[in-house]
Amino acid sequence: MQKKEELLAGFVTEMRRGATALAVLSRLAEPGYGYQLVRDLAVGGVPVEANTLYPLLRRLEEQGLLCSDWDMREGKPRKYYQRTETGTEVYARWQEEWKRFSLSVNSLLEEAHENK
Amino acid sequence: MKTNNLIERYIYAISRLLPPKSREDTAKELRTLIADMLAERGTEQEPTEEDVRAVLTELGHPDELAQKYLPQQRNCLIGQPHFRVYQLVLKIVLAATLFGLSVTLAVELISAPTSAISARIGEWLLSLISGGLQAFAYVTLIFALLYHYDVKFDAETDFLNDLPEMPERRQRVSPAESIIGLVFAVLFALAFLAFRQEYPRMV
Repeated sequence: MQKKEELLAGFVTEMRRGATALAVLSRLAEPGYGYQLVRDLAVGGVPVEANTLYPLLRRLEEQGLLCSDWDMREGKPRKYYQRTETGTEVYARWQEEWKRFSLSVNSLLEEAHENK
Repeated sequence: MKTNNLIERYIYAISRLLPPKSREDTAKELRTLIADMLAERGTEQEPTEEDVRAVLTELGHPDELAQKYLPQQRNCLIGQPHFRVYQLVLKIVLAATLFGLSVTLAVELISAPTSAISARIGEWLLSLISGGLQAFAYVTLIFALLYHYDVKFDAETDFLNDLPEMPERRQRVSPAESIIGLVFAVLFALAFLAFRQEYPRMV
């Protein structure tokens, strides 16, 4: 029993890994900071923990898909991230891929459901 | 004051593992994140130690968090493709150790059959353990270094030519074969000893 739950959790984590970065890119046409994203994504039904999101933002920045700027106005220093031009291009094509892929997977699942 | 200290120690535990250039940046960002998470609990101004502990626990172990900031590849001792070769070499080395020590034991038992056999076997077991551990340690160390410095093996060779043959039928060493082998080994050892007694100076 335990084993089944663990297996499933592993599959779900694996499945979410790439999609999380896509969801993050989708939110950053306008500047946004880490914790705001944590809340937004949770509200949007894609919960990501802060300890996953912050390193991810950093990685996307290193890869040149995001750029960042410190904002000091609120008293605490906030790092705002935004998509770069490259980020926007990659995002546009990636979301195409995502839509096509999820459509295909869905139709496979439908088909399996009908033939059951 | 005490809660602040806890937060700073937590952040330090992470940032010390990060590359120097991103250290300060990440520390600043994490500090604000923790403040945000405390604010969420409504206790940003005067956080209780309990709140701070809850927030830091939610963020998880500093080593793990730092690991997520680091590039993904080299976060194990020996990874592929080195691990494959490591397994092979380890098997060979351990088998050779077992073989070598066993031959020594056999020769000792045959050459001095009167001495206490159980003591000899005990020694053999001990040297098997220490020898095996040493062999394991050396091979592991060498491969850990090879992996760490990403020393390339000739892995690009044509693996299609290296695929193992399918076994024809179930291949086993028949009992008869192994008995014959054993008998010859013993005969050879006896002959060797007899020869040595006859001509002690030659051997």
